[in-house]
Amino acid sequence: MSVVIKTLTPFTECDVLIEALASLNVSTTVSGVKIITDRRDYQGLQHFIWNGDVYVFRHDSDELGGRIINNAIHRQYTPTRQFLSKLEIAYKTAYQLHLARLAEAERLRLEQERLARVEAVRSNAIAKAKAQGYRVKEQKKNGKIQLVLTRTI
Amino acid sequence: MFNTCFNLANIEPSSHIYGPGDRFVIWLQGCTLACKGCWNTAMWSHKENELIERQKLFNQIMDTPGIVGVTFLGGEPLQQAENLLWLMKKLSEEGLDIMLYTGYEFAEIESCSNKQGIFDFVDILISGRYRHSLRNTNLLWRGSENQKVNFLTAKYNETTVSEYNQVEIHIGEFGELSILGYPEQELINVLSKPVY
Repeated sequence: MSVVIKTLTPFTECDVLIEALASLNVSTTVSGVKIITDRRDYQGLQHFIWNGDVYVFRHDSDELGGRIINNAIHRQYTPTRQFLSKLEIAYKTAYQLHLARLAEAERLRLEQERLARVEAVRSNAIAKAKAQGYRVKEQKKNGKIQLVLTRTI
Repeated sequence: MFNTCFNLANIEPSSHIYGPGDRFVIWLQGCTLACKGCWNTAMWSHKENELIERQKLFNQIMDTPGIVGVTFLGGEPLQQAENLLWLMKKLSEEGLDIMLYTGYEFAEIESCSNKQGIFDFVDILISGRYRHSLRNTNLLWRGSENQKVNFLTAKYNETTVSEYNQVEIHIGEFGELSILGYPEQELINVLSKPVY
């Protein structure tokens, strides 16, 4: 048995996120720092809220209410785990389309921000691993950075 | 359960901590063994998670460059035994080596007619329930001390195994993280905090 933990793709661009949601047939309304979706659960409409860095998805952890409500109006409710998984893929596609539409300078700025974010995560992971006594072996494959941490006790 | 489809929990097309070398790793969804303290309780349910035709999964594996083998874990891979055996046979014919993690004991597999077929294909078998009271994250490829590493072919042997703790981190193109393996909670906590 081993662990599998995944952090969500950081949703940083409002327009890209809305476009990605639309591609999944999710309607949205922007209200201040919130992007309100038409996905409904026990607490009401699920939404994304800007926390200063990324949009965070707010939803009720108990999905039973959502299923009942949505099934009642003849619409298939996609469980949150699957919804977010699909949204990550849609967001990455929408991001590429967004880049293609932007002027070169803005495109470079966005890409630099993205690369800086990746580098911050990489540096942090290596530093934290080494602080806990791990040896770190790094390689790149398929556009991902792989860090293999090994610690002999 | 889903005919010729696998019910998947997760896939990593390239990993170095679930067996020798660079491997395609597949977590199958669904496990009724329900070991106390299991880290992957989200993979217990046999409800549909992500279905993929077994032929499509085979093609995806064969299109992955540089791998020496495939590792199956879960969930409980042997609870999708029919498709698993089909895929293992195809992979063996292509020369890829196979490693299988299962919560079943060796003797349980031997005595079960729909599971014992794996012995024709598996090179390394990690067997036995996860026992939380025997948890040890410093064992290569296992989570608790009762779990056994069984070398079923001549491809690998005991010299392959040196005991140590391993964790693998994948950083995606947007800075998203996947943490795999046998991390202590403290490491998970510090890595899961946003740094941007």
